[in-house]
Amino acid sequence: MTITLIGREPPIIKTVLLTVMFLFLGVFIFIPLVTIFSQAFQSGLAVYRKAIASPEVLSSIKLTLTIAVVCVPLNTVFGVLLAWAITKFSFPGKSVLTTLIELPFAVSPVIAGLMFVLLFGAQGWFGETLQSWNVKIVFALPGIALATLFVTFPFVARTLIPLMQEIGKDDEEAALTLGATGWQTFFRVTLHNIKWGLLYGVILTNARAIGEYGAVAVVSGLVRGETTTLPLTIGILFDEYAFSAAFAAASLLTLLALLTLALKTMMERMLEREKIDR
Amino acid sequence: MGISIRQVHKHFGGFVALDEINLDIPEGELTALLGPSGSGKTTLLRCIAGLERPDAGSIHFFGENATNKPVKNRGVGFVFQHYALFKHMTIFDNVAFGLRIRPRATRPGRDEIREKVHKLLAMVQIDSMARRFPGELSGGQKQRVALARALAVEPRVLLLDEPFGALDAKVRQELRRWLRYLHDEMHITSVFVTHDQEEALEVADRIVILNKGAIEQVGTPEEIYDNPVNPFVYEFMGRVNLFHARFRRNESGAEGKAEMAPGQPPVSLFIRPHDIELQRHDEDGKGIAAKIIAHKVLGNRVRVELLTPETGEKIEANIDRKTWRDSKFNTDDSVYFRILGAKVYKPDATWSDYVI
Repeated sequence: MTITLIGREPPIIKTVLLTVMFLFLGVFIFIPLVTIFSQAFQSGLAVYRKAIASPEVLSSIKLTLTIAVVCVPLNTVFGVLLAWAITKFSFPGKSVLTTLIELPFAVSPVIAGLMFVLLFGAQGWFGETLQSWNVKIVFALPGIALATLFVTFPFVARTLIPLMQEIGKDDEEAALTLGATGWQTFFRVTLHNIKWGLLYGVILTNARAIGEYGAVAVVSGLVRGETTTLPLTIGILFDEYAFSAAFAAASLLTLLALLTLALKTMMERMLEREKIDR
Repeated sequence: MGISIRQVHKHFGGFVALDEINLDIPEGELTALLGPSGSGKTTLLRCIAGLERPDAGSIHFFGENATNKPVKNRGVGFVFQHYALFKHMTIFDNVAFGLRIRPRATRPGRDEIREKVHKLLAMVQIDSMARRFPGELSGGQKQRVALARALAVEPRVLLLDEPFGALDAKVRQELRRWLRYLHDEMHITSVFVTHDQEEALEVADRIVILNKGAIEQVGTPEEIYDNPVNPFVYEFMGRVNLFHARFRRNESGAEGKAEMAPGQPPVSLFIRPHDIELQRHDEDGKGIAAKIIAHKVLGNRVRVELLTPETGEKIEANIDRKTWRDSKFNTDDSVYFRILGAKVYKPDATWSDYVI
C-alpha cells in the first residue's frame, strides 16, 4: 500500500529521500562504527590484545557479565509474571500497572541511579539500617545490579503483553479442561506460544544490561577495578586519553551490539512466521 | 439428571450476562443453547465448564455439587470455536495431551496411550494425519482433532462453544451431521452453543432458547418450532411476517381475515413466509389482493415480496419453485395470497427486538 503510494510520487522525491536517508545512516552509524574499529586497531593487534587483557578491562568484563547473569534471568521471570498477570486476569489498578511498566523508559537513567543512592546510600532512607547490618548496596555490586534491574525491567513485559493479548486465552483454557495444572499449562502450552517473543525480550534486556551507563555510573561510585562495568571503564579510559585502550574495549561492546542486532532480527523473523501459522 | 443449574447469576461490570438461570440438562442427550449474540449462551456454557465462576447459584453434575470445583477436576471436554489446538504439537501429541499430563498413578502406559489416540483419530477420520501439525490441516479437520482431544480424557460432559462457527457452509453442514452421528454412537451428555437455529434444529435433542441472560423456552426441536411460547422465540426460529391487526370475524386465527377493524383489541399476527400461498384468482373469496414487487430464486424455493395495495403492508412469501414456474408468476403481477397458518400473540406477551 505504502509502496504504491510512493510509486505515484515523482521519482525525484524518492531519490531525494533515499539520498538523505543514506547520508544520515552514513554519518551517524556507518562512519562511527568504522571509527571504533579503526581506532581500536590503530596501534596494531599487539596493543589491542594488551589493552583487552589488562586487569582493569578484564575485571570490568567480569563485572558486566556478572550483572547480566544476575539481571537477565530475574527480569525474565518478572517480565513473564507481569505479562501473565496483565493479560490473563482483570483486577483493580491494572491500567495503572500497565502504564508504570514504562516508567524506566520515561525516566532518565541518571535519576534511576540517584533514586537508589537516596534509598540505600549512607545518607539514604535505609542507609543506617544497612550499615548496622554491614550490608553494602550502593557503590558495590548489589547497587549496580539494582540499577540495571530497574533500567532493563520493561523489555520482556513489553514484548510479551501485546503478543499474549493477541494469542488469547483459548489454548490455556483448553489445557485446563484437559486436566492440566497451572504449571503444566505454563510450561507445556504458554511457554511454547511465547518463546520467540520471550527470547526477543531477553536479548533486548541483555543488550541494555551490558550497555547501561547512566544509572550504573551514579550507583557504582567508580571504584576502579571493583565497581566499574565495561561501559564505565571505557568512559574512564577515554577521560584519561588512553584512546587505544578505550576503543579496544569499546570494540568489544560494539561487537556485542552487532550480535544482538543479528539475533534480534532472527527472533523477529521467527515471530512473524509464528504469526502466519496462527 | 445430567447437569442441574440452579439460580445461576453472572454479571460483567454493569452487564447482566445470566439472570437467575434454572435449567436441567438430561443425561446422555445433546442439548443446544440457542440465542442471539449477547444472550448469555456462551457464558452459561463457560459456567458449566468452570471457565467462568457464577456470582450466585449452583451447578450440579450428576447429583454432585460442582460449583466450586476447579476446571481440571470437572471431567468436561471443551471444544472451542477457533479449535485452540496446541500448534507446536503434532495431531497425535495434541490428542495425547490430556492423558500424558496425568499424575503417574493414573497415567496410562505409553502403548495404551498410543492405541487410544489412534482409535480416536480413526473415529474422527484423520488417523492418517497423526504426525502432521495443526497448521497443515483445514478448519474442519482441526475441529475434528479438537473433538478427539476433548474425548480422549473420557469426559462426563462434552461442551462445544459454537463449534462450527468458523467453518464454511458446506463443511459446517457435514460436521453437523457427523456430530449427530457421533453422539448417537457415544451418548455422552453434550451441550453446544449456537446462534444458528437451523443448526440447533438439525443436531439437538433439546433446544434451550436464551435471550438477554434469561431462558425463553426449553423443548425438543419440534416443540420449539411448532409451539413457540412467545414472539421472540417465534421470530428467532425463522423469518416471519408481522401484522398488527384487529379481527373482524372468528378470532381463532387461520380462517379469520385480518383487517384493520376498529373497536377490537389489537393482536399481533405472525405468519411464516412458507405459510403463504399465492393464487392468480381469488377463487373462494378468502384471498387478499397484492402485487408482486420483487422475487428472488433461492435454489428450489422462490422468495416473493408482496405489497397489499389497500393497507400498504409488505409481506414476504416463500413458495416452491415448481409452483412459481407452473403458475407463471412474475414481478409486477397482481395476485391473491392466502394465509395457511398463523400465530397470534396478545400485546402482553414477551416482546422482542427482532421485527422485520
